[in-house]
Amino acid sequence: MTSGSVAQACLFAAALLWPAAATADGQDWSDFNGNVMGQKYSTASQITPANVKNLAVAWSLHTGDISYGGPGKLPKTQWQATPLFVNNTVYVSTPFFRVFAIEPDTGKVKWIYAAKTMSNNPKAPFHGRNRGMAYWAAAHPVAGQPCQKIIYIGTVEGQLHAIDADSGQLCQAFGDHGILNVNQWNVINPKFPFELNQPPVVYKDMLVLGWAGIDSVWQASPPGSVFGLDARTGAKIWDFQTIPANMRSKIGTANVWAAMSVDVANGLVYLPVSSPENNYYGGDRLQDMPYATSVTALHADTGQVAWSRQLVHHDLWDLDINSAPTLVDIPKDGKTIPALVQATKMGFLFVLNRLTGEPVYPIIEKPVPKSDIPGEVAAATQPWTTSLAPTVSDHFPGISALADWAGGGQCSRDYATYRDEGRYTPPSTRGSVTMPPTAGGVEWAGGAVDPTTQTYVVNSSNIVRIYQLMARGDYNKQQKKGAAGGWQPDYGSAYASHTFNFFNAWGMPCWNPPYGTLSSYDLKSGKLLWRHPFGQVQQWGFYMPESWGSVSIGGPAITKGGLIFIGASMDSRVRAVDLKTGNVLWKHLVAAPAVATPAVYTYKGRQYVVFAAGGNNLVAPRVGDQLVAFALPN
Amino acid sequence: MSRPSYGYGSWLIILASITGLAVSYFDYVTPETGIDQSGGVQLVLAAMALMLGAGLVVALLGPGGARSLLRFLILLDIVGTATAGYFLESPLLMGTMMIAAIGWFMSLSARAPEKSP
Repeated sequence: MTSGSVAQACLFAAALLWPAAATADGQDWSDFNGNVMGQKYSTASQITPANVKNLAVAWSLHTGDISYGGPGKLPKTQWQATPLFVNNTVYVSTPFFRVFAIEPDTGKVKWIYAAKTMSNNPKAPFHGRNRGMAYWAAAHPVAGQPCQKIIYIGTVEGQLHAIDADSGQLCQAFGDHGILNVNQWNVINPKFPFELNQPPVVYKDMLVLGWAGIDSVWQASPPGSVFGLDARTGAKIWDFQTIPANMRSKIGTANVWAAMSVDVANGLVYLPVSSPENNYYGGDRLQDMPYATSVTALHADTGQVAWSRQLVHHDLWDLDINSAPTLVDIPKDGKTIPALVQATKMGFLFVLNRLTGEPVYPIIEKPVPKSDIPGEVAAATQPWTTSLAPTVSDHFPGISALADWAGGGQCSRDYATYRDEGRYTPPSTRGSVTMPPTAGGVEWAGGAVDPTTQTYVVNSSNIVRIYQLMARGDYNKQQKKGAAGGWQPDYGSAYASHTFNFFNAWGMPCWNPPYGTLSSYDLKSGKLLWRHPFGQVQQWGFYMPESWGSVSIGGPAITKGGLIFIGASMDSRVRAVDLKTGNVLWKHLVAAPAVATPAVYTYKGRQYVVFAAGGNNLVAPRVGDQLVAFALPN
Repeated sequence: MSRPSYGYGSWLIILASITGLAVSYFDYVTPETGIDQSGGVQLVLAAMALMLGAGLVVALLGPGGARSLLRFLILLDIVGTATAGYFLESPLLMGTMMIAAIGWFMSLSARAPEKSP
């Protein structure tokens, strides 16, 4: 064996050991998605279908970081942060970019770190939105030295803060005295600062970081990029650009605004890449952009592309690939396939070999409708997979008789004026029925998997929106008259856009329920095990029938005990669902829709499930600041 | 043995409407109910206030067409509020409306109050 091969062997062994070190006793929740493989799975088994009915509040706290919106006030907060449980501490970040370190069994606050933000950049938009933190721990900690365990939180202004996980103090070696200005790399069309809503993902001693921004205002906005950073210092190791070099000056985004996942053993990081600007008109970007709306695997050490698969060609629907793919090994046909499951806004579940990007279940290219917009050339075909039953139908589910009656026939009349040729009907000037639209399908939390049985669970919404375009000249005239309310300007593009829910005048959905579902699949066979309407619509306080389901944001967590824990629905309830049957076994009201995936952990022999009940006005108007942990009675 | 007057049933309706007001006010101001600050509870508050007023009028007024109309409106109020209670998932409100319904039926079977000579 040469010295080189010895080194390789050592590296391989280290890579194998790394996940074990990161998850300690297997009861941690060390990442936004539970672990860096995006599995949202806990080995905790104390809470079972038999005893879950006894689940009760163990502790609850209110962070105080909440805004109800309204004239002259901050916009409504959107708290989508999944807490972490690491270092024998629960950590949670808030929409005001504060980090709380909390005792896991009592809910008592150990320390609070408040990121200074929104004060030094008047151009920074405040969205009151946060999706959590990342955690890194040195493989060989130096005794007595601070920052051997670090919590990272990003801000709306592109600042990444590194905080000592024990003390809550900034790590001076990172960036500029603990704060890295990621916005320094925002150099092409910097119309807005990089918004670091989503935490980076940790790979060995590196962070891999994407960013969010503002959609549909400028076509020439910042082009998508992802950074590989030194976890200790914040030094940039590599960057990856998603848009071809010759297009970056005129076309923006195709960013990675959602969580990512990592295959540590194989040194691969998986990027869910969003759509480019203009989100709804592509006549100015007819050139091939292979990484846009794709899942792309990079070699995590170098940032070089390992493989990439575009999941929507020439995206005209803002169908960002928006969740970290779920990595799981699937025994199939006598082999074990290193796979990933990419949930999508389209409701398609793409199962790929995560080393090669090749489909595990077939993907076909299917002809789709043409655009009738001058200058636009819609893709002739789109990737299609039905081996795992899509979570969303290919066709409009029909006019709701109740909504149509209540609206005096408005739904039917409006529908007759729109263009509807099924999935991937391009936007049009008269309005196109779009299902699923940008709101999904599956949103940014993605699905969960039980890696021991290869059971995959995902919640999904059935939403119909109308996509409408207006030529620039007409838009300018309307704007001068003050009649362009609700339209997105898409400056620099030949068309402005307007997207809206297909509701009647009372705000009732014009399409038939269910509005949301929870589904379970056997990844070994691709078989749908069960699908049920999930959650309840709540309007004016009234709960609609359970058979209608609810739109949902926030994902499920699976436990070894045979349960699925999930908030996500409009009705501000959190639920425990039987993994085998899909039956709801327990539910509990919390302060607002729990639009973050819950975290599951075990501490001092007791299993806890903790939800951040913060709300999101995409789901319901109610907002909250409650962090609540449930456990079985002592 | 004489039958009870209109009053007993009407006073039960009044009691139920006061209880309904209290329940719906609690629902309106208490975040833990999940229906606080909602339009549905505002509707119930208004319905309970109307039922209280109508109940008082029925209890205090003598027989006549207005009383029959008010009793019909009270019935609509009871059914509507009970339905709202069902969709608000408020069992207390539904229970209160059950009491109001009992009062309403009692008032049906009761005799008119005797006028003073």
